[in-house]
Amino acid sequence: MKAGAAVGRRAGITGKRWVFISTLAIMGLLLFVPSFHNDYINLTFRNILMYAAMSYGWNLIGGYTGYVSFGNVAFFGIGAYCSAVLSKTGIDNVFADVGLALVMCALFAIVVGLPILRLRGHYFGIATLGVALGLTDLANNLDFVGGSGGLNLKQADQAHFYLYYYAMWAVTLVCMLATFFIARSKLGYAFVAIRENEEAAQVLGISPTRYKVIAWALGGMMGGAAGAVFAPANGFVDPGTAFAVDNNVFPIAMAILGGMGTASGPFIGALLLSGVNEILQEKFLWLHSLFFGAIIVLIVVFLPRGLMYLVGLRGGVRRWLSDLRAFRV
Amino acid sequence: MLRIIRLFLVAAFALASLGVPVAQVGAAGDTIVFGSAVSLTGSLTKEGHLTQEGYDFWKDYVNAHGGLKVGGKSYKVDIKYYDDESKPNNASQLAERLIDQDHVDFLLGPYGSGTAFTVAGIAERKKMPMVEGNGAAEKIFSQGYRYTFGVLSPAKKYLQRVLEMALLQKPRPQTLAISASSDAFSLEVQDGAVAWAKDHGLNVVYANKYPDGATDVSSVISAIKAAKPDIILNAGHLQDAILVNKGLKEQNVIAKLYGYSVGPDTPDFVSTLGKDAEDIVGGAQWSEAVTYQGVPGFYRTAKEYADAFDKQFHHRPDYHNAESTAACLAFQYALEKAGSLDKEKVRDALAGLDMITFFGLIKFDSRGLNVFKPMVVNQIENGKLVTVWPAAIAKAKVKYPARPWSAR
Repeated sequence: MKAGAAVGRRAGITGKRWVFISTLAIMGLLLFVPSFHNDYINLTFRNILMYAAMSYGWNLIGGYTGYVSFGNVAFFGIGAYCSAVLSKTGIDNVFADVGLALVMCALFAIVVGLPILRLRGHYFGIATLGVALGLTDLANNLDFVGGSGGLNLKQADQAHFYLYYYAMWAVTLVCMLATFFIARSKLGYAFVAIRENEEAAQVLGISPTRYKVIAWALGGMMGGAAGAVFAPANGFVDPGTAFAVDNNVFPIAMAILGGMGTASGPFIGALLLSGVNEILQEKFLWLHSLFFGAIIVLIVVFLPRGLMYLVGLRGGVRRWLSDLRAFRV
Repeated sequence: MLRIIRLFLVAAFALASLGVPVAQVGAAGDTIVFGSAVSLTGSLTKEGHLTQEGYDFWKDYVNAHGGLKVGGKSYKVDIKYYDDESKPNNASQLAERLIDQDHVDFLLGPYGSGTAFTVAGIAERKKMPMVEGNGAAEKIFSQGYRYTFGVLSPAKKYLQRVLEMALLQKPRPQTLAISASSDAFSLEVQDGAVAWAKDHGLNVVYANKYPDGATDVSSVISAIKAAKPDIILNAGHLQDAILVNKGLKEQNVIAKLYGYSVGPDTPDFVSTLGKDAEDIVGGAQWSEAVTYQGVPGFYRTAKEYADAFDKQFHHRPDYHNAESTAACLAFQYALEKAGSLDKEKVRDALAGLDMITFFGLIKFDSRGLNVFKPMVVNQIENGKLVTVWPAAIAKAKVKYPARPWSAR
């Protein structure tokens, strides 16, 4: 739970400044991905951006506020279904999709967050998992969103295929900048205060439930926006794709790898983990999932505070080992 | 110093992840490269493997017999595989990769209707001909797509033949219970069976679905037991069939006939369930018993195909193997007919195909679906698959009513 704390202390509340500037530079480069005219590269990077946006969403509640959520895929799913339902009514406009997703996700986060964010620590995690599973079942059984058969959206032609790339890029950039500025504002300090010591924060006049709900809602809106762009790009939404386990787990793993509670961590984690996954899939037809899983385990064991921690590390291997020991029982 | 090393490491990491693996396998000189993302891990692993065997069997045959003759030139054949982990999301990304990164010449379908549906959308956008033998949901073919062709009979027909056979047995069954997994294919199988049953005076006493990939169906089984049906059917895949069969035995649900859509035909069904698999029937796209006489260019009868297949893979082919091989055959005949590797010409040749093969007639309706080939019904007797319907090709009479679980 306190994994992000050390980073917060050592590298500032958003991470190292030069790292964030480099991250922005890479984002700038990604704007040129469509010029490859290669749909595979386009789709791969669109997925990286999508995971990054979801990871930023998780990072606000899990990384900054210290409340580990296992149900943020719920927002991605809501966003995806918002687009699908709009498409069904004849509206195929990515701005409308994202707009509706933002509103619905914020509402959902507030309505569901008020009761479950009164829970502490693990209990909150379990409750969020329940929220995600419940929504999956709901989508499976609601006929107006197609039930388990799902909904078809307007099939993207080549021009739209590029448009959705830029849309996802924009969503991710906004998530990244929003995280940066939120973290440096009073709001961000309130989140970190809750993570470090909820009682102390309360004594200082911060209402934990209110700020936790704000963190969850803002994070949820990020995931929802990603889902709203994903759905028309994919052309099809069903409960299995909207609430996929991968979409729940990957963003968390990416935030941990990059560095929780930083403004660059989720993006760097998404870039690296997706890259490694692509290479493994290419090289190992049979055992790629095994290797991928092993890599995630190794990261959690040896780099529990993520790459941002490594970047900020002073004192070499010895310091790293002693920090690792502090992490163990 | 340490700082520089760290910087270097981070940069190297970033570059490694950015440098997308470059693999240029397709379209090279004398080789025609097909691409396919099949399910080699995940819930459809077994079926995915059978699909791959079917493809590989055709590839080996063609390469051993001088290759594919297209426009007076002989080409070797290669197939580039990826593992979609039984997830439609992965299948779409891998399809893009096969087309734009690996530059394959044509696509062979993935396993399953869900994945075939997403890949078909991409094939359409990229104007890339795809023949698939493992996605029977009509949903794939009702989108107006021009580039996707399915060699198999539609999902709705999977269990209709089982019912057709059942109604001719004595004593005539009166009631039907049918459960279905909540995936596109299984729901269509269920719809088709229910509609047929209602048209033919069978009373449907239970028809419901359970979540896709469920690992516990005991509540479904209890509900079926309470409905006391004469016929119990399940629409799903291999894992569903095994799960439902185990549940029916555990709760000792007695009916006159038990039938599953996908499952009984795959070798793993019998090896997993042993005696409990006895008397179970399954709707099948093909069996060794079919008597088609195919056109030259490949094994011409089901028996020749099955014997040669057995020699290579050390098990008898099931219908997944056969329909996968048939998808390749469609390409073979279309390429020969088109006399060109041009994608439009090959698409048109596919659309106009009308060929008898060991698998049956391969001919597509305007949607690209092979509605012309009938289904068969198999039953497990003494651990072996025996074709019991249609009567003209049946190797034995169906064992009806099925024995109680304790007497198998």
